[in-house]
Amino acid sequence: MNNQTNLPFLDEEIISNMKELGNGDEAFANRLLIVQLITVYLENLSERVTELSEAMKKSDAPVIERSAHTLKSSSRLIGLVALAEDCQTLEDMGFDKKLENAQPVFERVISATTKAVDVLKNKIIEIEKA
Amino acid sequence: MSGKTILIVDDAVETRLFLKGIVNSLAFTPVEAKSGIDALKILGDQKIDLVILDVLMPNLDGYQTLEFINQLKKTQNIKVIFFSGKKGELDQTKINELKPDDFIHKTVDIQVLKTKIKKLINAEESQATKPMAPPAMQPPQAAPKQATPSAAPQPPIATSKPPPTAVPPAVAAKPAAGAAAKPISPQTPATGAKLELNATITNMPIVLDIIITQLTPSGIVFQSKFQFKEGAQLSINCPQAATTLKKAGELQTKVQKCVQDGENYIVNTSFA
Repeated sequence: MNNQTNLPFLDEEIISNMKELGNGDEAFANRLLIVQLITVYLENLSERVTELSEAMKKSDAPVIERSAHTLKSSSRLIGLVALAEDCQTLEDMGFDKKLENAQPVFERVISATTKAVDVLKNKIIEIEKA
Repeated sequence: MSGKTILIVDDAVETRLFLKGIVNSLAFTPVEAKSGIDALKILGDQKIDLVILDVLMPNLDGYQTLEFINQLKKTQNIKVIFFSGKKGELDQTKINELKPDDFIHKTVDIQVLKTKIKKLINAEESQATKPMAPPAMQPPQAAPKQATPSAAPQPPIATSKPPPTAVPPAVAAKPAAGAAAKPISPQTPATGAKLELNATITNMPIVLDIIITQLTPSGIVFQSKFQFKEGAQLSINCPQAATTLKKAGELQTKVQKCVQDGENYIVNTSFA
């Protein structure tokens, strides 16, 4: 659980609902869409985190707002709801151009994205074994 | 139900994949566009029954894209769902003006999303092209059952944001020093009168009306309802301007600057 929001790290209900959508397309025609979504998320994660980190270093509020928005949307889609909530907070701070309290939120985001890599890789294995 | 094509417009790849999964599960045909511009090209090339349109996208946002689509709706039966993850308020005035057929928050439950899509497609089968009343803004669903991304407070409308390259208005009261920047007196408008030449941009999916406000040997300044990306290549049809500039045919220009001026944009171009 996330202390700030009391949300689970990974919302299993979202994963479960996504499974019902069946298989993905093209390279994932024989694999579930949720696996495709997680895979694409992992592929893009490093770039998104880098963009957010650079924006934080520069205190660039508009870029923080935009990159947090993107990370939030993609995280929530695959069930990373606590991370998404922190991204929402950062996005709001970027929008309001009030970054004085952004650093601890950003650090939680970084910590969560690091943890997410293993969690998601294991989730793919778990889903495909089932 | 089958045979219907749904255009998914979103700059986020995951959202497109997700919506594609939804559309496939309903046995409709999905088509993807990662930007408003791409969407308009697709709409110009093939029959689309429903557009699921992200609101907050870079460059041509959902509002601007829908303005173009609404022109197509005069002759085609296209339904449009605004699909937004925005947590705060969107611009209800714009929504009332543009009249999307529905508005769905990205945190919507999958089943609700499916139902809404089916309902609109079915309505499309039984109705004429008349657009529905603008939907009232719907808050995100309270249940944390969201399966789609959500967004957050951003400026009311993307069109109200200054473009990335915020610069002083391209139409300067005084032209910059140097011959190249001196305006050319057009032949027709009365001397001293403010230049206002009606023109069209012809290389967009929809012919777009603009008003040329300044002609120089190096380029054109015009006023438009739409924002243009820096570097965009535009073919401008204005015989009067071409004659004045001693050029033949359409004027090939490249956008140098685009700045907001009230409800319009002032676009500064150079000849390509």
